[in-house]
Amino acid sequence: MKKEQRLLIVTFSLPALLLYIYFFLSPVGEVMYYSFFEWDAVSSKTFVFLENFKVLISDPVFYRSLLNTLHLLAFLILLMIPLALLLAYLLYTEVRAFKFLRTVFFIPVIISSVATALMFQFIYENYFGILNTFLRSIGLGDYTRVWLSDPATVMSAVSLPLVWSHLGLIMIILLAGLQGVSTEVLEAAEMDGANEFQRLIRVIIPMISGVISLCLVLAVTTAFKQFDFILILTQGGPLHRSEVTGSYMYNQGFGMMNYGYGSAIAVSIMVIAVVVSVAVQKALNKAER
Amino acid sequence: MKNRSLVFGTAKYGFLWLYAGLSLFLFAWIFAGSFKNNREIFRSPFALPERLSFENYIRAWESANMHAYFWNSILVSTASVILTLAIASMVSYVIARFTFRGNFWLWGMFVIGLAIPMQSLLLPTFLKMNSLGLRDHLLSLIIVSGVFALPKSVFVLAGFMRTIPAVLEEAAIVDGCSYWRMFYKIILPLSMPGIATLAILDFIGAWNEYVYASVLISSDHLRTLPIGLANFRGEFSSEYGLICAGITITMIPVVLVYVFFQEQIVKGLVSGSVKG
Repeated sequence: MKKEQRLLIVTFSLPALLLYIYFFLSPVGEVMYYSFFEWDAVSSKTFVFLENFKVLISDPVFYRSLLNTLHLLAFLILLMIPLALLLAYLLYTEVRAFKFLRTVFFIPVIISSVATALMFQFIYENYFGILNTFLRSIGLGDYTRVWLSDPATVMSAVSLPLVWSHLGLIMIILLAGLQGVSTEVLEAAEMDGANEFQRLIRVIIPMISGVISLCLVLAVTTAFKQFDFILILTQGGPLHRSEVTGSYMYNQGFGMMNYGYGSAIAVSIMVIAVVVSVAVQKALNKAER
Repeated sequence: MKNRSLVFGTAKYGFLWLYAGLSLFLFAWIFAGSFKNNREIFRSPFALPERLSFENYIRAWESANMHAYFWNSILVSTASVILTLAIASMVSYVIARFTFRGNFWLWGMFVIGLAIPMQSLLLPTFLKMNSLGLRDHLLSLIIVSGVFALPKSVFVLAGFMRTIPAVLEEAAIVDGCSYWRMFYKIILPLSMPGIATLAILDFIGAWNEYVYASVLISSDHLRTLPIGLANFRGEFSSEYGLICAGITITMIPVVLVYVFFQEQIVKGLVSGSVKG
């Protein structure tokens, strides 16, 4: 190898490599290291080895946060994906105002989660909020409630903005998948007298199963990544009823200054995320073969 | 046959516009609210504003300090995009166009980052920025957004640069062209579609980043738009018109970016998530 080439490889790699190692890979090691300590960031660290993890596996709030994360996932899989598929299919069957509709569906994807959270706060607001005002105006005033403080409704209330803000992306991906389906197959199905719904269920869905499994992967990673809506809308309350793994880590670390315990939660999030994405990827590869 | 397609057509447009209508109604409600005062909002939440008053916007922009948040967001987003793309395009060039020992490991090291959820590094990053004296400094946000966007950017750019035919470089070598010149005369211009798409997506990502900004920044004059807006609820918690104006101000830039670059954004997001 020529000297000039070697010099270029080194000088071109170093800036990205050094910043990446120092600010990304080393925090991965640091969070694991901190998880072995009891530490409030002010006094000195006490080495407790796996004690934080022992506490974690018998911590009911941690289980509640895992369960709530699965609740988010259920909304994404059972509500968002079918709805996105239906909208993508309808857009695919040639509509007027295609671009306008696509824009309206997609805008929620790119707006800040803070803006989305505040908009949904206006929907849920007790006195003048959109939902309660609407219920009162159609004579269902008895059904109004304080959606974000009621333990029975809070998880659904924080799941809906998540569905709304990710639906556009899933729809665009499914639409791209649909546009790859050959029209000949569809024409053949139409000749055989299949109606629109039969075509969707029997012909189209099996043909884009690869893209649908990709959307399932995205739903899983989205559910496990999510916590800014919850941080803004409820802070995990009332009484941890809307706590998810991310918000629990945040509250332990920055709220209660339990840096060691917060780090142990962060490590478990990391492990779960890696294990789940590898498992889903494996299942996906298997399904494709 | 005719009848059935008429039914389907009605159901189709009905459903599409029902869902679109819900979103449009929400946007319209916020937009109308931004011209109202509290009395109007309480009395008739669904009514149009009584008069076109920009008072909420003026107050949000000036006394609620949104002008400072706005420029901080512009600075952080632009600087972090430039940082990411400058260093990512260099290392991607090395990964895509040179064969050497460790090439695969170099690529793999960046790609493994795709699997790590960004939020799990919140605590160590906070402590690191604190010990570097960068807490409550915009540079910390530029580094966080810039570095955390590296895995995706290297993955996409190295993939893009691999598809550039080698013929051009071979000819350039014969002409005695240096590797550095080859990079910015041949590879960079040919990678522009990929770089532009990444720039737009990374910009939107940095513009909307909330969690890291909320723990790293404490001074009011250094806040970015998302934290500034989130803090509206504390400081102006009962001034609903003002909050609506703040939401509108935060949304307008990304909506404009989308309207101008929608084909690129749609294509980039689809191919990014299909590959990633």
